[in-house]
Amino acid sequence: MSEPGTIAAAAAVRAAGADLQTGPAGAAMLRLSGRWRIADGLPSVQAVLDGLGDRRELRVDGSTLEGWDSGLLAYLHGLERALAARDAKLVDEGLPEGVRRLLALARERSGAGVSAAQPRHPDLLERLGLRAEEAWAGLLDVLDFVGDTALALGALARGRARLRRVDLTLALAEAGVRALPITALISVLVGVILAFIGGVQLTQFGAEVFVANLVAIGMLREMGAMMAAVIMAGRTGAAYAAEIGTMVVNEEVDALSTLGVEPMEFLVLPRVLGLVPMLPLLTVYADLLGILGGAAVGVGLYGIPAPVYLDQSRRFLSLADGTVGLAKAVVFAVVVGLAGCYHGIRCGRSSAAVGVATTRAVVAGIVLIVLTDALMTVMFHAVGL
Amino acid sequence: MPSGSEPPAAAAEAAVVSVERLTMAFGERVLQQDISFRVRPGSVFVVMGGSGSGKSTLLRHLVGLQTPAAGAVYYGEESFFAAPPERQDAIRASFGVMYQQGALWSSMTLGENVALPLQERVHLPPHDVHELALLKLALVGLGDFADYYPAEISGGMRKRAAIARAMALDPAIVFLDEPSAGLDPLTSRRLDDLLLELRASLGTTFVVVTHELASIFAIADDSVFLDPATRGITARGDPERLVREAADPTVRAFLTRGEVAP
Repeated sequence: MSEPGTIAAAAAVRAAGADLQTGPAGAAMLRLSGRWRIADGLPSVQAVLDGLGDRRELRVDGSTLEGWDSGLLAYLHGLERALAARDAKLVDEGLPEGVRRLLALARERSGAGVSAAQPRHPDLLERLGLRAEEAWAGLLDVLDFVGDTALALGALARGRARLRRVDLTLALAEAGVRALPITALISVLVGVILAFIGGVQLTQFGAEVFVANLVAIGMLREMGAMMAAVIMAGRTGAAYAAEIGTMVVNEEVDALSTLGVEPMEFLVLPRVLGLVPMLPLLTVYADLLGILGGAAVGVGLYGIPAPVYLDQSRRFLSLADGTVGLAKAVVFAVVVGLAGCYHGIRCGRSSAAVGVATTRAVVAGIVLIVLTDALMTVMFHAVGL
Repeated sequence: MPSGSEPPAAAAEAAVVSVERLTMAFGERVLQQDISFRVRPGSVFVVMGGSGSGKSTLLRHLVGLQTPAAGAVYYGEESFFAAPPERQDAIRASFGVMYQQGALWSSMTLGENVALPLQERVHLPPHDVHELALLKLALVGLGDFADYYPAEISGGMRKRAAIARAMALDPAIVFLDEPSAGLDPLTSRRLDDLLLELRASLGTTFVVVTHELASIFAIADDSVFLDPATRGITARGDPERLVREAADPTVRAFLTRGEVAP
């Protein structure tokens, strides 16, 4: 076989040059020759169109073709469409039988059947409006979802909801025991970091013993609950969105609905209810380990005797600090669980959509954690807690 | 050895794909044992059998997705699983596969789905790739849908797009897993016509896994019948002939929807 492209190019040159003959009826002839292979590329249609001028008919002769595959078909199909656009037509009588049949097939099927609506491209202002409408609809949808969850919870309280115990147990295990190692690692490190940055400042005043206060209060009021919740958002919230999203793609959620089983009760409730008791427990665990991490730095680096450090921690903590942390943990659990389930249930029907849903669940979870944390911090401050 | 299977050496004719003494198993569970057959070039070869007989698993073995427990799959004279990785890749370039659910990449438009094999295997300018993708889509009746995503079209359209993708490189062999399952009779008929047309015009060999009777009779030149009970091939040949002459009554029952009781 010759150099790729040369034969194909030769066909195009001939078509545009000497072999494009004009007849009395305004017809022209395109002579195709050589071997046509996909891998050799396609010659330009434009050269033929330019040579054709305003003639309405192009005859194609393939008597000197030595071989062809879809490359030739694609070329002719493209040529035919280009001709149709300028109101001219391609006469394929001189082509091999197989080429003509497949061309006819491509032609017939392109036009036949459901015609595709062309996707519209709205202008900037219209896009802005559409976005605003979408955002508003999205907000209403979230409220709708929260309301549905509340109704399902009500149904559960009245003993009318279908909630499989095994689902709840699984959710409890997934959000609880299985999250212990990662929570331990993160909390110890957060304790260490708090002690470090506190220590550097406090030693300047000879007040390094207050590192204990900083770590204990910081963990109990803020960091314990928040870090545990962020871990849950990345771990459990993402898993919820991916699980439920895949169920949507596989029509499993539709199967539940047509069965009369409310997906809110069957899928959302066990998952959210699994998180609600577990996140506060994880928070207590994170608090303790954070204090331990802080103590390691306080004792090891700043030379505070261990009993003094622990006594200092205990004396300056109040019940309120613990309560505030736990209250936040409960709210975070609801927020993370709902964000995961919401994005799962509203997942599109493709595998790519599952990825999008998972990402959104994690992002929404973390943003909502920080947002509700800020709100609650202000609220607790206002009531003097 | 199950009745009906004959040593492959008996068929002296050249084969594009052949299977020799293949055993398929999931761990301890053996699906089919010692099966052999050859697919003639330019033929439409149908793999028949009821649900659970290992039809789709056989297809996975043929395209190299699953390693046989024993036996071999040959492309021409070359054993696929014994070949070095670069030869395996060359063999893969010679066939196209249509998976049961279409398996279109959902993050790509139909045009991009069909274009990807072209971009991966042959190096063409984007315009040529686009033209070829458009042609393949037009051949399956989706010429106007190149910019659509798989999630935006119907199941039947997804199947047709999957065929267009399998045919993207003008492969010598195309494997189809249940092409007509879930399609309406007219669409299914047109799909059969399309296969026959492509075979006639481009000389493509088709290996089709199916249990749609109408389709089997319309397209098959040759076939094998996989029986889950005996774990072997219980009949082979042109289905038109098997309806009357198959030695195994189960095969006759299968081909007549139970009108001839087994």
